[in-house]
Amino acid sequence: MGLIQRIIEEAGIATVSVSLNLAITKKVKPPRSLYPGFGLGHPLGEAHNPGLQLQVLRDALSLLEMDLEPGSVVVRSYPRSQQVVRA
Amino acid sequence: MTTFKKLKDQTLAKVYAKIPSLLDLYAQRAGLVVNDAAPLTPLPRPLRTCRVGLVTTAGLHLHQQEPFDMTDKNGDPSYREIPANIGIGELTITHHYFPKADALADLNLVLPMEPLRRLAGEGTIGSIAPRFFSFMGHILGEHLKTLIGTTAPNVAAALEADGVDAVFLTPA
Repeated sequence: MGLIQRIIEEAGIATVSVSLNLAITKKVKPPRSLYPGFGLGHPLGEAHNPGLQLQVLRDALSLLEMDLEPGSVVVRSYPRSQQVVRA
Repeated sequence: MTTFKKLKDQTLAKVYAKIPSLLDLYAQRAGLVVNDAAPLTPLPRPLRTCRVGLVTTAGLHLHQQEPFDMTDKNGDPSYREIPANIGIGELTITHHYFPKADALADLNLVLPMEPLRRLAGEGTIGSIAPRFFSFMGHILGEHLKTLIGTTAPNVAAALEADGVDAVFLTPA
């Protein structure tokens, strides 16, 4: 996904993504990322948790208006419910 | 696709999900494209006036669209256009390399269409792009060249044609 993000950014469109793994993101270096600490298959956090999904999207988009270095990864943590994450 | 391959792929996805440190090992050993620098395009105007699009690599597509090819071990570098005004229930997932039960139960988990509508409604963003784009992740080998040289640039051009100012991307 980071490669696609870089190509869109190079075309002149500002981008921001969710990172699910810091090691991969630091290698591929997309322009801007939010690392929320969620697992595979859960970039917006939890199913049927619209409040959390909205907060993650809001926070990610807010990075677009920050003065960040190219390739920045912003780490944030989010409270989660006790629901079981299904594989 | 053989049932065996599907079972193997989904089992591996569950193992990676249960043991996140395995992804760090994957990052060290996989043939990832490594970059020393990143491009950066400033937002052209305040976010509250921007048109925002979504791109995912979760393998989403409309039920009636051709599914992604899961038989090729190097993945499928094609993409699907998703009209932004559809109901999220019109989508499904063809991608076996991540645990997808939660995403299938609520596709906003990987393509936040409804949260984006909420942000447009409250004025945090200016408007929503007319179409979103979906790839599948895990593109390797020759298909990486197609992704980098053809399909991703085609999506970038489509976003530009749609007047999109900013894009939010999700892996899975």
